[in-house]
Amino acid sequence: MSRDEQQTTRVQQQLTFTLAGEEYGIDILAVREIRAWSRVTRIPQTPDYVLGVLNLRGAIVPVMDLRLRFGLTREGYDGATVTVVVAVGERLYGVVADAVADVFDAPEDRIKPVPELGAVVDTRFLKGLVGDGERMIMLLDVERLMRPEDAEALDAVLPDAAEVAAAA
Amino acid sequence: MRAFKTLEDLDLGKQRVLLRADLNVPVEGGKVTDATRIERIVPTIREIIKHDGKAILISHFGRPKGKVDKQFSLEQIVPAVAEAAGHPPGFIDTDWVDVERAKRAIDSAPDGSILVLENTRFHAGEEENDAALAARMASLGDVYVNDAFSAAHRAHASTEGLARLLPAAAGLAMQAELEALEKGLGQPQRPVIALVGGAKVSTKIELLEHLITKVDALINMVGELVITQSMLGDIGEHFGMERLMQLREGLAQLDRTTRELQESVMRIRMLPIAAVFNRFPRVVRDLEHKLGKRVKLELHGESTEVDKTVLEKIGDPMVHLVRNAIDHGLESPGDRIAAGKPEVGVLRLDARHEGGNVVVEVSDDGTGLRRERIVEKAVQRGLAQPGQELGDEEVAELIFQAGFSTNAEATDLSGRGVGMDVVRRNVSDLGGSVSVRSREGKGSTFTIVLPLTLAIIEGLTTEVGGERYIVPLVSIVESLQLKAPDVRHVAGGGELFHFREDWLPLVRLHDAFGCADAVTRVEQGIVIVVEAGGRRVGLLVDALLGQQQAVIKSLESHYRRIEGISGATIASDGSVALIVDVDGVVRVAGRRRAA
Repeated sequence: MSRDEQQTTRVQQQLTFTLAGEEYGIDILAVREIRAWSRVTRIPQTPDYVLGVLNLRGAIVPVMDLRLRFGLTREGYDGATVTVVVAVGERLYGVVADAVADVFDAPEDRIKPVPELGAVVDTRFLKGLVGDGERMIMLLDVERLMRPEDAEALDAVLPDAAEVAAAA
Repeated sequence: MRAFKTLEDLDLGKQRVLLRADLNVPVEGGKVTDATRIERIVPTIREIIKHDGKAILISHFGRPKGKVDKQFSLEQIVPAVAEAAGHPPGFIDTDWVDVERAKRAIDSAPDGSILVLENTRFHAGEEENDAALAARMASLGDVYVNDAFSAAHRAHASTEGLARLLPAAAGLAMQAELEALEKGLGQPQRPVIALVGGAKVSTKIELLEHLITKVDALINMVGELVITQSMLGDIGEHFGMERLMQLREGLAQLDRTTRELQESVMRIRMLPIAAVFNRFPRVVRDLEHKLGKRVKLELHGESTEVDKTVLEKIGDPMVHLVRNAIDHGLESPGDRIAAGKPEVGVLRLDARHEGGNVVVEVSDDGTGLRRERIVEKAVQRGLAQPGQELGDEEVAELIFQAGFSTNAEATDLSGRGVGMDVVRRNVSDLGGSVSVRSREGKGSTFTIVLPLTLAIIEGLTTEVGGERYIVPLVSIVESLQLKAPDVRHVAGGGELFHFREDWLPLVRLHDAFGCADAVTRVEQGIVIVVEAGGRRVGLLVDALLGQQQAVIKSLESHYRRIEGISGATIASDGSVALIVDVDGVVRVAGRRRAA
């Protein structure tokens, strides 16, 4: 890509982090802060990926473990483990990742849609993919990650309904 | 509309006008060095003499300590008044003990003249707001005009006492000042922010309380906190064992100031319940017309103060109870006369403090709960068995059941699909309770009990499997230790234990909240007997950690409502502790057992 083209393309800055050997990105405009891992207070009646709540300067903010959200196992938390606090509208929540990598400028025209990967990979929470040589960064949909379970269940049903309508 | 009278409201024509001026001007070597205060009353003087009134200036001057002291005579001001008004005034000497001579002097002065009376502070009664002195002053004039804004805050004979005795109004300078104030305080442009500075919090509470209703944001800069903080900072910087005592003192001081600040902040949030009561005259009037009933509304305890968090939430349940009372409780005028009652029904709203709670009662002198109809309905709905013996309390409880309404036809008022069950749920969500007392044919009283504030609770911190849960103190009856044989197992997995003549269900908090590594053997833990929604249960926890005040934070602002948890608070180590919703936890435990 030539220099001129780069200047005319809009760039999305992504905060990238690693999770089970893969690299993910979160739109940097949604990131409020990055904190070292600290213990949270567990809350009952929640899915296992919601680890609990933490005190963010007086606000009670839920924290989710991305490994558990993606159906992976969590061996433990170490010095590199981070909590990335993101905002969706007025609401804040924390996501726990293995380690923060860097900030990556993703030109919008190089963001590719997520291919249909079947049941092997959970693609519900991805907005797109962006490649950079050998690197491949999966862009997370922060709004969907923290959707309540019932809304999620609705999402699972709705595509089917749409297909039925299209077929009729 | 002005809140005060002006010159236009007074008849000045050929009147003796006592004009309270502020002639307390700086004087050096018998000469006035700054005549600003005199110049400001000139417009009022001109207005009086234009109407052929006599402008009789009265003022204090210096501090003669209640005695005649010629050093403080107002005679030395006369040339300055003459210069400012462009008209030489006459001076009238008086000791304010006997004013007859002054009176004659005033009467003999031509209409439209300016007169200056001697210093009012030559008499001790001035500063004491002495009624006799004020009466002597009043005998010298027909009307009173106050144009001394700078002295208006004092309650002296010439400012306060005198104003009560004669037709009074504000002078032009005073009017301008009051109107400027009105702009700032009466109908200010929003948002209004008040900054209050100073050291001692407690001395400013009254001012803050007054301001809070007028401003949108209040920023109180507390000197004491800053001083303590810098002191502690200094100790931390160069710490040694020899400074331990100092550290302790500093911490104690911090503790005091913080508590004082917290108390005053909470007090500021307290507002009279009149704000809610005041909407009822209208509600009642509307209902009277709609239903063809006659109702006299009585309000009691309107000045009872409650935290604004409670104030915002108490209105809806009350509106429902009031509608209910007029629709179902009070009879039509014809029925009332037939029953030997006065034609006009009485609806009474009452508020008062009781312990740490605010109690609000809605009572009527109508039919009361109709026992037979309620029981009949309950049997229809399957809420009671035919022929079942029910006590009065049990019958009253029935109306709080879901979907219960005895009125044959649902009216558009109370029969809007919202029943007493919703009122009870809304109130219990706020940590309160609703109950009813009733006498058939005499009337009913609904009682709402709510905590004084929803922002802070007193709680007992408990431990369950290494996690901390706070149980609100208001719902705790007692805590006790049980032995294994005290617990009976009921078919279906429930557990009961004996407590004061009753068998209460045992709720294992670790089960309800899914805590790992908790005490599961009853004899190793503690059982807290709690009361919620009119019933008692025992909560099994590992241990009690202590009592503390908890500032309630919402889980919903960033996450969602969790059943069994009413909120969270920040513990002293900065971590989050959850507050148990006793009612909810009983529901959760019931479901878990059923599953």
